[in-house]
Amino acid sequence: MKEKGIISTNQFVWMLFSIIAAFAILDIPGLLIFHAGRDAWLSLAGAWFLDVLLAMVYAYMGLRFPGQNTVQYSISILGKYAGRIVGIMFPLFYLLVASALMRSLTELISSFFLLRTPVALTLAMSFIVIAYGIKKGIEAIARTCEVLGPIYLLSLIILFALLIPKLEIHRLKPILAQGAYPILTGIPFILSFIGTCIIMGMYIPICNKPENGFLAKFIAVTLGVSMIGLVIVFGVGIFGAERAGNMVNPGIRLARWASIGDFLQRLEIIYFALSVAAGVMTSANMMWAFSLGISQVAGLNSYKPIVYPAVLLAFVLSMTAIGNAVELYDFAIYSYMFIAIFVETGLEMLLFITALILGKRGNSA
Amino acid sequence: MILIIVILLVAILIFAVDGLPLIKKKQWKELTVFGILLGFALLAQIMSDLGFPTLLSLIDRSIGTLGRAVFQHR
Repeated sequence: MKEKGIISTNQFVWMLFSIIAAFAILDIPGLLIFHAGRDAWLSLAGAWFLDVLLAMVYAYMGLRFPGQNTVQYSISILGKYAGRIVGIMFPLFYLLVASALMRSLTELISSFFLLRTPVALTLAMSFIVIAYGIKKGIEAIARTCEVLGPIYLLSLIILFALLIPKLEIHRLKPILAQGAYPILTGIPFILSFIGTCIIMGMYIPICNKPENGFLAKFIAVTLGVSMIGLVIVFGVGIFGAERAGNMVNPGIRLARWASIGDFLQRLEIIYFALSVAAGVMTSANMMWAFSLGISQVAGLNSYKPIVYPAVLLAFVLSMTAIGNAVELYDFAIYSYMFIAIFVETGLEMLLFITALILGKRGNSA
Repeated sequence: MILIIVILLVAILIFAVDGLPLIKKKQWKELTVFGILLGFALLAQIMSDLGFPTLLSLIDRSIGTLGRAVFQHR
């Protein structure tokens, strides 16, 4: 089945930016600082470079198989059975990301603002919004991201501008004090999170100009990584590497420090509201990709009948697959990277190399 | 316990909203996938209530040891 919605290049950019930037507000920058110390920004730069290279592969595959997404060209390249086995891993990965992201977001909301509200209730509310968005179609999600993305970007820029007087850049030195190992291992760690925009493989066939796939990803990744980088630089520059690495969420702590004179303080609620919206939109994108991918593997006529069961499954996984916040952090630091790198890079490289060797191509539209 | 009851009620509601139309339209493939996803959701909740280890703890036991070797944190 083919997805009937169409998105523009602009929407493509903001959808990917929302996905990457959603991780900026979570604990990921803090975890990277915890691992790589004051050199975390170097890991981020390395991850950006590798992600751009990965984007070239996805963009090329999108053009080599016009009108087909990652699930569909998996089947085209590897055949009915092996293709489905490989193809189903992408939607399952998106389900994992959506579930873990929503649980992480909900833990954050519960620990900072809604202390007495049950996590299940906050999660349920979020997933109801996600289900509604997916039912409306990818165009509704794209339009929302197109409005939300620039607002989110602007709010982050204003936040960092307000924090400049407090920044002590010398805290980023000395560079490479702990050697290259933390930076080199930090690169795949952060790449596994920003690499979730391999969802571009699902967007390219529905973009009105598929040839802009790489450009859209490049712009989105550069903007998104810049924002994460600024969280890291300002986190280390204001709090110091040791303290920032032990923070639950350096981004929100930074927002607490921002103020305009004495009359406008505690701006973190604005930052947080936009960040939660970006997180919800990210999960909506992931669940749309999951629903579409599963329907294509199963050979269904439409993904819409399976949206509600898919969202219910994601809700249950968010509640049951993750015991508590500590388990979530352990998973994020020690396990997620391997699963993500396998799917994001390993599977796509397998498809890429197999397509080249076997000379497989899609039919031109 | 409460959560499993809520999940069951939601699953019944989802079946009433989206499942019955699939039966009426005789879309058996869609109904099968629909049922599988609902089934997995209920199964995951039941297994959690029965005290089975969480999915993430199982992943952590297998892949997490490799991660701990790579990320040598103090």
